[in-house]
Amino acid sequence: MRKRLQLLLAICWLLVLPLSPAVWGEGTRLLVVTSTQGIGPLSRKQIKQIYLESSTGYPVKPINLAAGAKIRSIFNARIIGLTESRIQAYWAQRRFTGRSSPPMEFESIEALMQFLETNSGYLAYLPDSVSLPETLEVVYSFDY
Amino acid sequence: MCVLPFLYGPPAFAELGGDVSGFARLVGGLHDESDVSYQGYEDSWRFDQDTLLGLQGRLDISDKFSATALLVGRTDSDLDSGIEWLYASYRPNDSFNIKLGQMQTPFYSLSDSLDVGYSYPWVIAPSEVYNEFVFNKFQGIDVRYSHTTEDYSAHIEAYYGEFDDDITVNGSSVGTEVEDLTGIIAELRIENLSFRASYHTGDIFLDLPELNRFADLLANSGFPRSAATLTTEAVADFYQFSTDYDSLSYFLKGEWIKIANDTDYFAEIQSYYLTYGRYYDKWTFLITYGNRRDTLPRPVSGEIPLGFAPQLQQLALGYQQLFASRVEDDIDSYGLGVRWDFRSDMALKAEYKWLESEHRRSATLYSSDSRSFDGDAKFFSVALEWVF
Repeated sequence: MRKRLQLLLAICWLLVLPLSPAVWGEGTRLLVVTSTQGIGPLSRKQIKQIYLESSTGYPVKPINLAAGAKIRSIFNARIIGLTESRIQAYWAQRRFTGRSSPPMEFESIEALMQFLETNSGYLAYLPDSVSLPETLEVVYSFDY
Repeated sequence: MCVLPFLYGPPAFAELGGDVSGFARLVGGLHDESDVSYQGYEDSWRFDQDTLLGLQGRLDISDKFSATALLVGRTDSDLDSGIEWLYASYRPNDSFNIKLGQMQTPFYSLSDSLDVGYSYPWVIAPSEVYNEFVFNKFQGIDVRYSHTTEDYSAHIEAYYGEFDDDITVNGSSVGTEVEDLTGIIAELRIENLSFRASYHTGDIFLDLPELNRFADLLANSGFPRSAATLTTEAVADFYQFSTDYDSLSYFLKGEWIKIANDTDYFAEIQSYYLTYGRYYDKWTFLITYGNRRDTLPRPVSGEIPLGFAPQLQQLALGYQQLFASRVEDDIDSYGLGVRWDFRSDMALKAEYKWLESEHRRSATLYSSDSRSFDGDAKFFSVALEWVF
């Protein structure tokens, strides 16, 4: 039993070794936008709560890009603070309890933009390379 | 309600304001001991113990009312296939959710998703805590209140109902009725740290005719104290606490439970596990320590006089044997696991687990021939998880 404990401790130690710094690619800026005017600036924590919880009291619903999109990975890491697989597992649990469903997903930034332009009451994230229509308001942004 | 998804098919169902989703898992395992059963697994590969398919249909009747049905098909013949949950829910606002019908009994932090293997990191959720005899559904009402601020989200949940079905005890089915089943759950999440504490209680009636017959015999022979210890009715209390922390590179998870009862026959169970996991992109490596300690009440001694009549001798012996036939756990387990999220909706998992029991006969490692078994076993399991 003592040997087994030592083996487990050794494995623990290996697992604690630092992760190599992630490479995000070329630096640019991520914008979090709402399709409802007058929400005002939101904090990172507020945005995270809107994406994970259903009872936030904010009049906006979150929407997502499909898994695998680079900008989604950046959003997950910087705003949600969880890995993609952990977020997927979180929603797998919530979905089968009737508590809430994951945010609606779009295959491309173009499809997401098109939806936002015609539907108010949503929160989304976009790269700063897109040209924002007047109906969208930036509530948070950061460089990556 | 459960047939609706099939009649309409997912696209038409969606137009009605509905949603169909599902999960499937293929789980296989084996251990290295003959004549020993661990979670239904033996010393050759078995894939029929935890393999299952679940389909959930939800129909939004209005903004506030919805109906949910969950169908689960299992390959384990000891467990029921069919409608697992069937309930109506009412959400008067974002904070309240009231459910009425048949739903999951929220004993554990993972109660609502124990069948959804994709939602947790192990192949088989730690057996010390997520015990097979703890029933996972009930009929009744459940009220949940949520409050979210920028800094935290908190939930309070309470339920009341009953349960009437078979449970699995040491590999066999036992008819069980639970009345006045009630519980309260508090959850708190602050950033990536979360806590859950809960208390549950109920009046349990177990259908164990042999025990009842022997208790009647003792009572009729004038030994009421001994007879009373063999009651199959109990008030059971379930205490639970769990916590987990998740970051981009690692997670920690632990859960503790205690199951107490007011009988002088059935064991009090206390168990917990701790898991540490490390993420490397699509890979998760984890180590788990599990522990379960049972406390068995002692039989009444001295009530049945010995040395007077052979019938009394027999009765006393029979009484002692009933107590001696109980199994008790004093077990430690060490697990090493890996999970590979090779697609966003699928994962492969493998786990190697050492089990060390102080007793040759235990509930966790149930052995029909305890003479050849030293109490230790190694268990290997694999799983393919899918959500859709």
